[in-house]
Amino acid sequence: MTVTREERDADLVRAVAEGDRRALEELYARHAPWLVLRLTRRCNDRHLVDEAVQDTFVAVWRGARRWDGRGEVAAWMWGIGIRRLIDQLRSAPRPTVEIPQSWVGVEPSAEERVLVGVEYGDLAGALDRLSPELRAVVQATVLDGLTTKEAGRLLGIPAGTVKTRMMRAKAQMREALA
Amino acid sequence: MSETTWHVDGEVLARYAAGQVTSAVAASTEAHLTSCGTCRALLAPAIPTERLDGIWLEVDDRVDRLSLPWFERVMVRCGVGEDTARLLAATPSLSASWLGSVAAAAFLAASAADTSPRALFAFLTVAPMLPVAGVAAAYGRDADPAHEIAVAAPYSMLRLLLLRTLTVVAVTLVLTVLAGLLLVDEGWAAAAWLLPAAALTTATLLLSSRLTPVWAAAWVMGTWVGGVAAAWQATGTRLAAFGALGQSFALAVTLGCVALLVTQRHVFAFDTRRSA
Amino acid sequence: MTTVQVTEVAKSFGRTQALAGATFAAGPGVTGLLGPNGAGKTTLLRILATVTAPGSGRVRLLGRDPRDAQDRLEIRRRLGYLPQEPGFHRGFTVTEFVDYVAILKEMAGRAERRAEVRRVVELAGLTDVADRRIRALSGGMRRRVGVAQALLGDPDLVVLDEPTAGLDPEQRLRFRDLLSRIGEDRTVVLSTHQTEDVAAMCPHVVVLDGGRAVFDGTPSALTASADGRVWLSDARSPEARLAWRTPDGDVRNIGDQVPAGARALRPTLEDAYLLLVGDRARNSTGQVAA
Repeated sequence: MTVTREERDADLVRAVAEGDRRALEELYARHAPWLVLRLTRRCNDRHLVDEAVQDTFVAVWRGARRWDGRGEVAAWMWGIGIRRLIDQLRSAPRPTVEIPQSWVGVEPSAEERVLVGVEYGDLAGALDRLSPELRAVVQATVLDGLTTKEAGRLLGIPAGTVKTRMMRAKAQMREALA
Repeated sequence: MSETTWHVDGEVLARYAAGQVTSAVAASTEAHLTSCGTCRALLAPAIPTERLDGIWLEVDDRVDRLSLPWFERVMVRCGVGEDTARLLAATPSLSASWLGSVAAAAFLAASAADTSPRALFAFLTVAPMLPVAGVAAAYGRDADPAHEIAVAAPYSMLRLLLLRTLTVVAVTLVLTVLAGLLLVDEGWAAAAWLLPAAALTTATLLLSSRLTPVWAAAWVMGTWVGGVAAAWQATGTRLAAFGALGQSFALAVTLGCVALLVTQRHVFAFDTRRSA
Repeated sequence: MTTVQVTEVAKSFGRTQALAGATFAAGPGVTGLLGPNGAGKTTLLRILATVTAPGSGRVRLLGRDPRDAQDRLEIRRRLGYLPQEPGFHRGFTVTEFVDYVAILKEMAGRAERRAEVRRVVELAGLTDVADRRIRALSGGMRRRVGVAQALLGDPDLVVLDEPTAGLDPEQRLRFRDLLSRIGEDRTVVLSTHQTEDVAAMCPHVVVLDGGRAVFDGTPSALTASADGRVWLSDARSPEARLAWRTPDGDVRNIGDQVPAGARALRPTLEDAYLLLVGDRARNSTGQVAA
């Protein structure tokens, strides 16, 4: 898909709300790639990710009128996308989905350190030192903006477990930052 | 799209796309991507085109289906194939305005029939003509604006005519029967116009092979009214045409027209034009 | 194989004889059918589009006989047709209408049709208005919708009846461009009564007059037939068959021979055409005698 139109994302969404199919196609060209990548980091199953992305853009078509016009379109789309992925996980028989492991063993490059510094500062190091289960819970609730229940569905654990892990994660990170 | 002046390094983006970054770096990258279209665009080549195109094809198809005109959606819900629904959607006499007129005519005629035998006679005479009018407006150069284009296409014109006729007749019938049942007292009256309707409709179809459907309908309706009047004159009974003899005659006409239609079907392949 | 072969074809409607024995042939490329109103162009094109049966004579399209039911079906499978006054259904969008015709062309299944519908919509330059209702489009755009549906299924024979009629000069130019491109790998037969259309896009021209083909060849050959028969004067020459005032104030004359001493002119395609069809064509092209 090639990007051909010049309008801002917000204007494209408004155009989609008016029934403009080309605008939807343009939004797809701009946002599908990063959405695929980001969802793949939450779920290894390519088929489920494809279905979730598909559902997302159909939902954009149907719900464009309800977008409040505030904030980033990408953030709005992520909110739709992650929840569609959760829906897919609920109806699909649970595969042994491994949450992709954090890449370890290589010193972060200067650019990476800058990036992390810009976005998250000290928190980032603390995040990396958490165990994978705790990190996954922090990512789902804090970074992806899911509720405890939604996080539970995404990770395949009960909501209660999400809560306890969050508490442990917070404790560990407080220690790391102290 | 709020653009920051700072962007993620290309190398880091590539490693992110390949899944070769720490959680912190990934989280930071994703946070940045939420507000930076330039970096998002750089990720586009990371996904194979076939995969992206494949997903889009599905989205396109589903949006197509959501965008169907209401008529086609209703038809598909009733079990009609999508293609057939579209062919029917192109039928003028299946539009809301047309069907509304038919319903109005049927109910008007039926409500009048309740009050006197003369009015019942009117209802029984008018009712068979409603599907005929529907057929006239379903097909052919006068009704179908794209008729010539349709004739030049491989699809069988007779099949198109029958498809549309069947649907128009079915809908018209339902409306008229409803009107009859609801408003007319005498039980048999609600059905006495059915066989004549079948006869008139098949006769119209048959004549459509030689005349435009509008003329065919006009001839048929004229003959019908004339016949009903003649039966009345001959026997002195107003409803003579609807008695047992009349019904048998209608049945015979129906069967005869169907037989002739089968033998004449090749004529429908051309456009019935009388002038250059 | 010559795509179109018409031999001594006649057709009457009641007492009117639309075609009185027309003969010509057309192959790949664009063939222009030129002729005044009433010359039989539309009837002939209808016969080529298998919409009307020929009265008498022989017709072979794509090597087949349109009088035979099975052959006719095969011809229609490889045919595209745009009638003179194309009509469209009230509520349809461009895509929906082209899709409708695609169904009539036996393309089953919406998903499979979609790519083909998109292709012809793009070819006709209608991608930006693909989801608009046809009744909301201008005349030129509607004409393009007509061309789009004629291109469905990549037909070998495309028949267009007056495709440029009623278009403004700019639209006409773009249309000629489109039609020339279409004619590159298939047989296109179109009718017009504008000689500029022929000059611009038809390497082969057939002139129809009174139900007969009175010329069948290239535009340059047609123009050459008027060599030595066009001249300039101050006022209408008595020897002229037709004459009209030019914007410069002189009178352009065409006749059987340039009179002695008169200033001969290089003939144009229009001169040759007018010589061929005489007074009947004059009213069509809007020329007024001096």
